[in-house]
Amino acid sequence: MARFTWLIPATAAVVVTGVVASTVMVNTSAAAVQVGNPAPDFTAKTSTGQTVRLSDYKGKMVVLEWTNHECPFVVKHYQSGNMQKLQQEAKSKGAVWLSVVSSAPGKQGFVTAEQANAVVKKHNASPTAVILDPDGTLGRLYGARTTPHMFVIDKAGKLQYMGAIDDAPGLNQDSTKANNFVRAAMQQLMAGQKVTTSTTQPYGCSVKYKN
Amino acid sequence: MYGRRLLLLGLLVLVGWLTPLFPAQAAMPRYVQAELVSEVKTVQPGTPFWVGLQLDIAPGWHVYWQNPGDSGDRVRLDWQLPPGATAGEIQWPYPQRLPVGPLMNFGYTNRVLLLTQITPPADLSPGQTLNLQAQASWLVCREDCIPEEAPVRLTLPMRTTATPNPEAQSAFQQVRRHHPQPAPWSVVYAVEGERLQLSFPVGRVQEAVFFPFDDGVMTNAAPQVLQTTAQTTELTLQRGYQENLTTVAGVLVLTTGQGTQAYTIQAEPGVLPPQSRAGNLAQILGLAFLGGLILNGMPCVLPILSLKTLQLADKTRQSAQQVRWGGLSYGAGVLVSFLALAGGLLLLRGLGQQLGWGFQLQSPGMVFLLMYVLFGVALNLSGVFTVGTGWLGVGQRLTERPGYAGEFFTGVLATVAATPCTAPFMATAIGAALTLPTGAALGVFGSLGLGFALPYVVLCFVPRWRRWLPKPGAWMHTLQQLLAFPLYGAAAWLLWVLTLQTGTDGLAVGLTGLVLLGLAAWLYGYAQQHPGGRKAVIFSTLLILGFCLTLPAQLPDGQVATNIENRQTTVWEPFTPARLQQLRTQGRPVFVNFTAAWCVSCQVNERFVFSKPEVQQAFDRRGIVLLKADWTRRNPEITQVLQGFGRSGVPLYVLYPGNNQPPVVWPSRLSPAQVTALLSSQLGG
Repeated sequence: MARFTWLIPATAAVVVTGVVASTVMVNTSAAAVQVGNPAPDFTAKTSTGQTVRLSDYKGKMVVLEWTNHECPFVVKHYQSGNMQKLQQEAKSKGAVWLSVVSSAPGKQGFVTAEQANAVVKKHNASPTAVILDPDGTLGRLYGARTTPHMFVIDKAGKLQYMGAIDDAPGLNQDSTKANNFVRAAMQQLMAGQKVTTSTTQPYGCSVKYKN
Repeated sequence: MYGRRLLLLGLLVLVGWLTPLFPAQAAMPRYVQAELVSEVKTVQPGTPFWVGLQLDIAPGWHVYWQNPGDSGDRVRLDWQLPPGATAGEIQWPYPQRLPVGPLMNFGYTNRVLLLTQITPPADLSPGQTLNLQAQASWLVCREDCIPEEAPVRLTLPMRTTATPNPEAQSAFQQVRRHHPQPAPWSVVYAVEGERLQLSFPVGRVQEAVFFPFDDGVMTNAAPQVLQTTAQTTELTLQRGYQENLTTVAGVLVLTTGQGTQAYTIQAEPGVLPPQSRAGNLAQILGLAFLGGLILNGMPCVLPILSLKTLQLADKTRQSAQQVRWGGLSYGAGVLVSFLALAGGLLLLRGLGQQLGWGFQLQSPGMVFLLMYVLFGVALNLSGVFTVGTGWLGVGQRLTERPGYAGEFFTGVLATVAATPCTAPFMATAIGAALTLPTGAALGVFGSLGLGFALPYVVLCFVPRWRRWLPKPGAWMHTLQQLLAFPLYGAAAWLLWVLTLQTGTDGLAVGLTGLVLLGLAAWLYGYAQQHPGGRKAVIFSTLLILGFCLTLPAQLPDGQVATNIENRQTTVWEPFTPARLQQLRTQGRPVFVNFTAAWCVSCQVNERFVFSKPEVQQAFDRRGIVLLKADWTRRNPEITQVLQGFGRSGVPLYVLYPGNNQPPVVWPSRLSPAQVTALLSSQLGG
């Protein structure tokens, strides 16, 4: 039987290889987006020509905002200054704010890098970066459905909130008086508390994905 | 006069120019005309009556149901009523599924009548009038969305009795037929992995659609798969992001022989009736075993195994016991790799990945490594170099101690080579395994491995059967070199898959790797024959091999559209759930071919069945739309659909006969004659 002792290391080797291969694949591909799970990592191009990687922001809170500057719901939040205010609050808490544009070329809200920068300037917005996602890869990775659709990721890289920006989905409703879910989530995370409202139904225009 | 006209024109231009700047303000209705309609002509004080908001929607545009689906916003009504009058909630007729790109909305097209019950004040006396006013607002979308709003009003005289409004009658009656009724039976739901199954005691359902009241209960865009018997029906949905479901509430629209009826349901968690499960565990284990047995004969494994078997003839000079232990080592190799594969698959399932059999081939890096392995083995068979015991034990001296490690790794290699193949029965078993608890799932994979290993192990144990094998001789050396070519072929095929996945840049990286691997193999073989300077040669061999292993990281990242279909005469449209839904709504027959470049059985069917002129004609003649779901790279949408059919891998062929008939799953192994027969039995003609 001693002859078969090699079976043990060999088995271990096969299992380890399998597990390592699986982990490698997890890191490079889509995992189900669920609150409480690690937010899927991604690398993406920004409107200033830089490449950002989610895992580079470990240790910081990250807010993802799906946007489309021609969508009436997005316009509502930028015209009232609501989104800009939230961005400033997030940055004052040391958070990273990434605005993502997943509109495909030729569709509503698609922007070139220069146009994206012009929109930021026009709105007097202050995102850390605007991510250009014309292929919709990042949007599909996170299952982004609407503009706006918001995601809050904690310092450990776990997804803690996804859904609507607030509880005022109507275009006539005043967003400055609404209950802002993203603000609440950020405050609770900063205070080391559990996010009470962690998932809501996002509202707004559909993300204009590539067909 | 002219001046005034110019001023007016200027104003119009200015308004037109300003409008796009303020899209957040609801525009004057352009795509929807709203009107308030009453069911009565006169109102009796204190007696409730119904009014309807009638929306006429421009062609191609839609407004939203109470749960708009993936995006959008419901129609809203803000009433301004006289004191004492009250208005109820909107009664929503059941909506339509409206695909928008990869997303799904629930809403209405053309015309919809939204009823609301009004209770007039009791203290108004006959002769007075009742003024109803509301601000109606809605989001109207085609792909882009426009918020619109309009004031609606209605003045009704109060009388001692209410009199019906004959003009409104038919519209009110019609919309009430679309109002959901409380279901007279109970609905049970069960969650299995990513699937959410609704089961209810209604038989012979032709079509069923579920619209949840809440978001996140189901993945809205995923197809809903119907299974129906004479007594019961099951609708399989894809779960949404809500983790803890306590109840599943919504509107279920059923079409039976008696027509279409919508029901409000509140499903309770429960156990599905036993016959609805994919079969009991023993049955699944049996299928897995059978699938494993058949896997031995599949094109990806046959070259390796035939060599292996021939080698047995050589082993006649070994002791019977050594041959047995060798067989068991091979079996252990197969089993361990199957379990490792299962472990990986289950681990990823636990992480919420959308996977299936052959998943490892969706990663270009893995394809690359597998290509190295097959090319390396082929070089070994060609005699470029020999390995201590030989990958396949070939070239080992017969007097040598038997190489159990070699046997073990042959088992591993055979399993790795088998992954692109799906044998009959295996798909069902693995599909079921992915929904089972971990222990049972490992059991299914174990059973598959046992079936796969059994034929060879049995040959090792029953010497009598080995007599049928040809006698060993010099011809074996020739055969060994000859059998290298199927493996070169397999490596070439993987290179083709890699090119489809990563484009010509990937091809360049792959070819570089192969050339360097060839160099390393030759160097190593050279060192074996020329003992001098061995260390230096082995060192450089290892160096080159190490470099080869870093190459997969150089593969381009970008997704390249796979274009297998371009090279074929059959016209396949790329599959998306939205396109399928659209075609089905139009009542057209659709055939969906779930395939992948790395799936050999799929490619065999593509070349020898689907590209045959008679098969194309058979499809053409019946006006069947052909959709190809290409799973060469990871595609969660396709994985979802596969899982909806209880499958975890390709090939899968599904015919949707059109006119709301339920889909029919075809066998995985097809012949042209079978296709035409299946078509005429299922569609006639």
